[in-house]
Amino acid sequence: MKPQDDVSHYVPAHKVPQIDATSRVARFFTVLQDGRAGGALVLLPDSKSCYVSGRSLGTAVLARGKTDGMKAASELSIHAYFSALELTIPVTRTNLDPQSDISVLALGKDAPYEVHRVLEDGCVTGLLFTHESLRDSVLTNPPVWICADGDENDKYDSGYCSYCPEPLDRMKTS
Amino acid sequence: MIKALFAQIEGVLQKEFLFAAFLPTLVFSSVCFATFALMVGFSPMLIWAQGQSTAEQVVIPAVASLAIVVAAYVLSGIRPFLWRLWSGQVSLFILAPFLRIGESWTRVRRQRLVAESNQPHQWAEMPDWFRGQCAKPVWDVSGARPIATAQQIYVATSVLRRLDPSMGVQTVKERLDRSFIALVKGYDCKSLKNLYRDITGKLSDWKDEERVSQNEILWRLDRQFGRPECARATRLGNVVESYQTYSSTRYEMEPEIFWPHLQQYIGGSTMKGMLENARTILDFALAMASFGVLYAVACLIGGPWLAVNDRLWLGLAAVGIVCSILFYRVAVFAAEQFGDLFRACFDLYRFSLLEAFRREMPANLSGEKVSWQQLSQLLVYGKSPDFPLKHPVTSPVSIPP
Repeated sequence: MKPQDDVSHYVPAHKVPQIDATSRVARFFTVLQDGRAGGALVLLPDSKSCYVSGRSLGTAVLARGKTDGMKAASELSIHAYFSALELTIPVTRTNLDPQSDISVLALGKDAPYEVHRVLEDGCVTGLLFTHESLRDSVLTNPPVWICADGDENDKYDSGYCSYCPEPLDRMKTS
Repeated sequence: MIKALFAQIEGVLQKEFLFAAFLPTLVFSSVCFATFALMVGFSPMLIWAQGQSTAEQVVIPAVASLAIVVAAYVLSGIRPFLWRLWSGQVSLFILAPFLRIGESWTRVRRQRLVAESNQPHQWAEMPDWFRGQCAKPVWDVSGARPIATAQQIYVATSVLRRLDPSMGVQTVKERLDRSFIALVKGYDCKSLKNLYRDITGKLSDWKDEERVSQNEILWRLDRQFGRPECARATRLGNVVESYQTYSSTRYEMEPEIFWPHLQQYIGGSTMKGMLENARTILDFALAMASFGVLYAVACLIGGPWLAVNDRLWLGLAAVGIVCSILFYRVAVFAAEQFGDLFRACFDLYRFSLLEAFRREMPANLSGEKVSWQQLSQLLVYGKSPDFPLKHPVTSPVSIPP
C-alpha cells in the first residue's frame, strides 16, 4: 500500500502546521487556530522536529498556570514545556517515497509512537503516523479555552479571557 | 603582444569598468557636447562637420572616443577618492566647516533616536492595568446588579472609539475610568463583555505598535549610524560606518583588517555577484552625482564665457544639482544594499576564515570573540598572547615501492 492511500495514518503536509520551538506557547495555539489543526510540528534547534498535540501542550500550560499564574505560563516558550508534555513524538528521518510500500512499517495499536516523512522530489508532501489516534489528533479542531465565567476563547494570548478579566482555566477539545 | 592587447580589451569590457566609469563618462561627455551644441547652434556645427576632410571625419571621432576611454580610466582611478569625498571623509579646506556642521547634525539626530529608544514602554502595562481595574469583585455577573441600558453602552462605545494613543496613558486611563469602568462597577457585566473585548483588543494593539515602533528605532540606529565617535557629515558616510562597525560589535572582528581575508572565502557565485553588483551600482551613482556637481559648476563658471544668458546657465546648473541629488540618493540606497551583503558575509563565512587561521572552532560566542580579539592584536600590533593552533589531520603519504 502506498503511504498516501492509508487514510487512517497519512496526513498531507499542508494540514499540519509548523512552529519553531523557541516561539511563545500562546503562538502555538494561534498557529493551530489559523491552520484549524489539533496538533503541530515543532521545529527544534538541532534541525529535528517533533509532533505535539494541542491537547497535551494545553494540559501542561494549564498545570503551569495554576502554580505560576496564567500570564507567566503564557510567556514561556514551547520548548520550556517539553519535559512536562505527556506525549511528544519525534519525527523520524525515515523518508518514504509516495510509491513505496508501507506494509513493512509497524502501524496500529502495538506499534511504537512514530511519525514518518513522505518525500517527493526532496519536498515533504505528507506525514505518516503509526497510530490512528495521532493522525486523528491532527485533524481534530484546535483546543478552545474557557475562562472561570464560561466564556470560550479561540486563542490563548495572554492567558486571560478576551471577554472578561478572568484567567483561562479550562480547555475543551473535540 | 596580441595577448596583452586582448587583456586590455577584456579589462575595458569588464562590467565594473563599463558601468562604474565608462558609462558615466560617456553620459557626461554627451551632455557637455549637447550643451555646447545648444549654445553654438546645431546647424553651424553640422556645416562645420561637413566641411572637414574625409581623414578628419575619421580621426576626430576616434580621438574623441579615445579621450572618453582615458577619462573613464582616470575616473576609475579616483573612485576611492570619490567614495571618501561623498562619505564626508575628505576634509578639504573649503569643505571643513560644512563637514563639521554635518557631523554635529548627525550627532544630534543620533542622540534624538537614542533618547526615543530609551523612552519607557508606556502602553506595555496598560492591558494588565485595565484587567486589574475590572477584576473581581468589581466584575460581577451574578445578576444581582441592574443591566446597563443600550444608551449607556452606546455612550461608552463612543468614548472607546475616540480613544487614541496620542492622548497619553493618563488621559486614556481617566476616560476609561469615567466611562467603561464606571459601568462595570455599577451594572451587571454580562452585557459589557463585547465592549470589554474591544477595549482589551485596542490596548493590546497599542502595546504591539509601541513595541514595533521601538524596534524600528533600534533598527534605524543600527543601520543608519556608526559609533558615536565616528559621526559622518553625510548620510552615505553614516551608512558606511554602520556596516563597518557591524562585525566588531557582534564578533569583535575588525572589518578593515579581516575583509580582504574574508573575501577569499565568500563561497558561491551568487553572493560574489550580488556584492559586485551592489558595488558597481554604488560607484556608478557616485560618479554620476560627481558629474552632476561638475556640470553645475562648469555651467556657472564657464557658461557665461560662451553666451551671456544668466537664466539659461542658472537653469542648467540647477538641472545638474537635481541630477546629482537624485544619484546621491541612489548611492545611499546601493550602499545600504551593499552593507546588508557585507554584514551577511561576516555572518556566513567567518568560520571558514577562522579555520584558515588554524584556530580551534569556538564552543560559544564569547569564545569566538576572544579568538578574533587575539587575531586582531596579532595582525594589527604584531603582539598577541600565545594561542594553540589546530592543523587539519592529513592522511599518511604512501611511498611507492
